[in-house]
This record gives sequence, structure tokens and C-alpha cells, in this order.
Amino acid sequence: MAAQIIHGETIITPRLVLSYESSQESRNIEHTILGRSDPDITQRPAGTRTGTLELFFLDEADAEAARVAHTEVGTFSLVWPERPSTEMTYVLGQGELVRTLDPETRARWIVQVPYREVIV
Amino acid sequence: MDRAGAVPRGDRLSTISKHTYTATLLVDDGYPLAVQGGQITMDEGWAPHVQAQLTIAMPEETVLELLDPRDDVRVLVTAESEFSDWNNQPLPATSRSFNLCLRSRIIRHESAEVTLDLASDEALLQDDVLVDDEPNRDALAYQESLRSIIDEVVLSRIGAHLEPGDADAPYRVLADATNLITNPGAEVDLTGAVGTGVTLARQVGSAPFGTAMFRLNPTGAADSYMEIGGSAGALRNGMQAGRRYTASGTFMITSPMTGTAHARARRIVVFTRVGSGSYVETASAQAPNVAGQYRLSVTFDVPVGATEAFIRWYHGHTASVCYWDGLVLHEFTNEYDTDQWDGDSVDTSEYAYAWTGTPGLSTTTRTAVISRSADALQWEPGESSWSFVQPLFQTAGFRLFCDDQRRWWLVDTSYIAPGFTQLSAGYNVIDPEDTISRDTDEWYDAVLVKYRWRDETGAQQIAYDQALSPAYTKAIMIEVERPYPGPGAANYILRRAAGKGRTLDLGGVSNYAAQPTQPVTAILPASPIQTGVVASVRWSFDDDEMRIGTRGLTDTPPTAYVFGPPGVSYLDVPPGISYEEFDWSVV
Repeated sequence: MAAQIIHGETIITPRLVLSYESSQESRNIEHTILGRSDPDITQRPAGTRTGTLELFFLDEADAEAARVAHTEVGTFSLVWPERPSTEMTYVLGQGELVRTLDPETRARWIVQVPYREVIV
Repeated sequence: MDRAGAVPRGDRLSTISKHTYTATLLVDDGYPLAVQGGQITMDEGWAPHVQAQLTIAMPEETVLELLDPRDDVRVLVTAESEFSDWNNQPLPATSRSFNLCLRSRIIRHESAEVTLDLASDEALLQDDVLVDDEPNRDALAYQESLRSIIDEVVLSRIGAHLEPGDADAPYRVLADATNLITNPGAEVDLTGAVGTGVTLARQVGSAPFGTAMFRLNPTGAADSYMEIGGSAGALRNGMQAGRRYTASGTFMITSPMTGTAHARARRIVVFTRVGSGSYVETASAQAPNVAGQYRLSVTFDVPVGATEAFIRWYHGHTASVCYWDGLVLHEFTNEYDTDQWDGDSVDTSEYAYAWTGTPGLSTTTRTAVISRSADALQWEPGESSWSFVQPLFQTAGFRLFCDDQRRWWLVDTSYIAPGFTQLSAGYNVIDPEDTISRDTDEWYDAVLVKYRWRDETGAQQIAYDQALSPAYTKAIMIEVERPYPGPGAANYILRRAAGKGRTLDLGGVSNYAAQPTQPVTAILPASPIQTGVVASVRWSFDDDEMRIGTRGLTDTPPTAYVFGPPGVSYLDVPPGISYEEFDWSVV
């Protein structure tokens, strides 16, 4: 089953998820101690996952619907049974929401969604 | 002992800690606030003692509306650190919670953050300005105890009170005066005393003051009294028209008085008269008719144009004996200046007393040795309670502060906060700075103490006490308003200054057991071990680090017994063994 993004009553179904990556900020702090090679560490919880989802749509209307949905307030759920470790709830992260007309086919559309995982 | 930072022993590896910060708006059941960062500082030189800046994520609208510094809003901030070593073994956790009042809030809409300024309760006293059309003179009632002035006059206004403590001192206002009574206690004879309806005698022994007192034995009339220095017909006792006076005396009976009582019985009654007008009568409170001694007083005005003023020390019964002693009449100073004094009173550090003529049979001058007028205890309209009380405790050498738990403390210079902070190179110190400056008052190698006081004639006197190091280069002068007690103080101050003049600014991973006025030891490269006192601690929530400022550092040899295990004293070393050679690990 293909990946789906659920936002309230809206369900976005891209034809493909072209790429997925996640990164998490370490928020631990290193403290340099005078006269000692190893630092003291204060540990803080690492950040939630963040990155960019690249979604591939066959037609313009679906791509536009995906773009508009992501500008709305609220959370989104990524459901992808084939890749269960990627499933998460997210909000639009920092960065830019990009919609691109595929330069090769000039008919297909790519939407890049910066995401920030949230725990709700 | 509660140690902030532990003793460096053996090889240490990274200490790993986790710091948690929370903030709660203390309204209703409390609203949690999302702390993003900020810092809290405790500084023993600051009022308010605790000050914080917090950045929180913008809360929901109802909470945002409650964050209004114009209301009495409080925020509880807690900081907790959990330590563990490299092997995930937990080390003792430390935490501290700060109950602070909200002073300001700024909403930064662009970043959706709110910045809060918080402070400890000194801020409430700084806000507590007296709005009235006359000064508040309540403090005059508590001259015997600075603690009670602070408790009853100041802190009671904000519903607070001092924690128990020993630091206390009287704060008596002083005023020059003359006791106009020429025979205040029958110490010599009955000169000047005339009885009406009573037979006067000297009673020797059992007197409240000195060895003798007046004995009044009634002859039958209830309107019976004693007068000293004249009766009706003139202004007596040197009183002058247009002035205000206080008369006081000690009334004593050994058993309840019997017979018929006059309305003026057991009182001091003052009569004044202008020309041929009627007599105006002013009376003190009535002494209880119970065996005992009672200090009575009456403050009265001799009107402008008065031609008569005289005082009657009343018996007022048709039977039974009573006694009067310690009679004082002087121009009004303040309503609490009613104690007994005459030329036989022992000079104190506050007053000098002298008979103006024959001892026991003349007026007495009372001269304030130091200048401390009743104005000091007068809280003026427009003045905050903090600025009213601050000069009082500073004069006494005390410090008043409200801690992070809303507890108020009055402490003297010997106060040391519990706990102990140690920061060492190669162990836990971050970015230390070590400053020595000639330009602070911390360091000097010559001391001049200047004593300034007034002698019993009221003349200004000055005396100096000095102590010098050989080839001294920097002197300080300390002014003391007190009679010269002889040399010594300068030498003591100079010796205490040895090794001072150095301040350290030390960093470390935040530890909430640290606090101001706590002992601190710093071991830094290429320096003698420094021991001193924490002057300030600032915890940063942004990077989990604290900065510690110090004062009063002294060079300390590494063999000093203070570096032994906590709780172990010099006395644990058996006689005959040098404590430098003693193996502390066996204790």
C-alpha cells in the first residue's frame, strides 16, 4: 500500500515518496573543564525528527491539493505500511514548502515538504 | 555536609548530568509555563537578593492574561540536576526552587515568546511606599530590638516575618535632655519636696533606683500628693511657656492601697494656667492598685502665655503608704523617652549623664554620645519600607534578605550559609578568572580608624587608631561614630585583610546546592588554594552552567585541616601528631 498523509478529513496520496530522510538535533552540551581532556556533559533530550519529504504526483490537481493542505494549521500523519519506521505525526517544519513541475516530463509534479515530527 | 561539587580524589572521568527546569504560574491551582531558557542570580549584595529572567513559550490566552505584573502574581521556578558518572551510576541530585514575584513581562509576538522578570520579596518592600499625610512613628515603640522593628513595622505589612536568629541589636534614638527635677529620688534628703495631705519621709532600701525613695504617708485627705520645686503660682521646675514636656516617675506600693481614693490617685498630674484662666489638668495613666512598681509618664504642653505650670506626684488615698522614685521631667523628645535617668546613671556607649550641681540635689544633663535622632526611626511619607529599614540594619552591620523560599533572614557578618562549594582545575571548573586589583576596597596594607563622638558637654571629639604594614602603599580609613575605646581595632582590621584583594569568577556545571555566603574553595593551576565565600551565583538555563563570584579569599595551605573530610575537626587529631602528617582517611 502506498504512503498516505492524513490531515483531518483530507487524505493526500502521492504516487511515490521520492525521498525521505530524518535528522535529529543533539541538544547535549559539552563543558570544557580546565586542565582535563574529557569534557563534562549535560544531557538534554534530542530533538524530534526533522527533514524533507519529497512527494511525487501524477497530476497538477493532486499536487496543488497537497500544497494547499500543508499550508493549513494542524498536524499531519504519515502512514506508510511498507516503511513503518517512517510513520509519524508532523507539522510543517522550518524551511520552504516547494512545488516543482518535473522538468523532464513537464506533466508530473514534485512537492517538497519540510517536516518536524511532533509528539501528540 | 551538603557539598556542591565533590572532593577531587583519584582519576575522574566525565560527569554526565541532566538538568530539568520548570516554571509554574501560582494562580488558582497553578499553570505550567514552558521554559525555553533564562537565568537566575542570587547575589548577597543585591536587593532583591534573587533575580531571574525567564523566556517561556507563549502560553494560551487565559494564562497570558494572568501573567500581569500589576497584580500580585508569583511564579515558582524549579531547577534540578541529576548527575551520573561514566558508568551511569547516579550521583546525588541537587535541586532548588525559587518562589518569586513577577516584575515585568514582555510578549515577543514575532517569535511567540514571553520574557518574564522575576524577583524575590525585597521587591515588595521596595514597592511598599508610605502614602499618608504624616510620618509613621511605629518603630519608636521597638527601639530595644531591630528584629522587632523589622518584624512589626515592615514585614507585617506584607504578611511576612523573620526566621529565628540571633542577630539583633537595640536601635535607640538618642536626644540630649535636661532632667529638670532637682531632687529626683531622695538620695540625699528631702530638699525641695513638699507634701500636701501626706507626711514625707526618705525610705532607704528597696528603692527602684539608687538607695532611697520618697515615702508618702497620708494624713487623712484623699487629695494628697507631693510637689518638688514649687507649687501653684508660677512656672515651676524651669518650665517655659510654649514648650512641650514629658514627666515620668516610678510609683511603688507593697500592698493594695485602702481607704477612699481620689480620681487623681496613683497618677502624675500636671496643672497649667494662662493668666487668671482656669487650670488645665493633664494626668498620666493610673497605676494599678496592686503591689508592684509602675513607670508612669505624661506628656503635656505648657501653653503660650502660660503663667503657671507645676507637677503633683499623687498619693490620692485616705490610707496606706506609697512611694515615688526616679522622677524625670524634660522637654519632649519622643513618646518612648520615659525611662529613669539622673546624674547617678552610669554612662553608656549612648549617653553621658552629669549633675549640674550638687549630686542628688540638682538638675541632670543627658548628652547623646553619638548622633542618632528620632528621625531615623521615622518613616516619611513617600519613602518605601525598604529604604526606611535599610539604613537601620546596615548601621548595625546586618544584612536583611529574602531567600528563594520566601523566608526572611536578618544575619550578621558571621553568618555562613549551609553547604560547601569546591571547584578545581582538572575536576570541575570552567573558564575561571582570577582578579587582583589595587582599586577595590578589598585590599589595603594600612588602616586608619577615625572615632568621632560628642563628650558629655556636647563638644565634638575625634581620635584616631592606626595600623601599618612596613612600607605600606594603600591605606583605608574607617569612620566610626562611637567614643574611642582605645587602640586595637585598626590592627584587627589590618590582620583580617591579609591575603585578601583577590576575587575569582568561576564557572561550573550548574549545581543547585551552591548559594551565596557559603564557603568556597578553588584549586587552580599555578596558584595557592583559595578559600573564601560565595558572593553570587548565576545559573544559566541556556547552557546548564553556573558562574560563581567570590569575596574574602585567602591563600590556604593544602595541608590545612579544612581540607580534611567533612564533619571532621582539628580536635580529631590525637595529641602529639601534626595535623599535616595525620592520615585523614582513617577518621
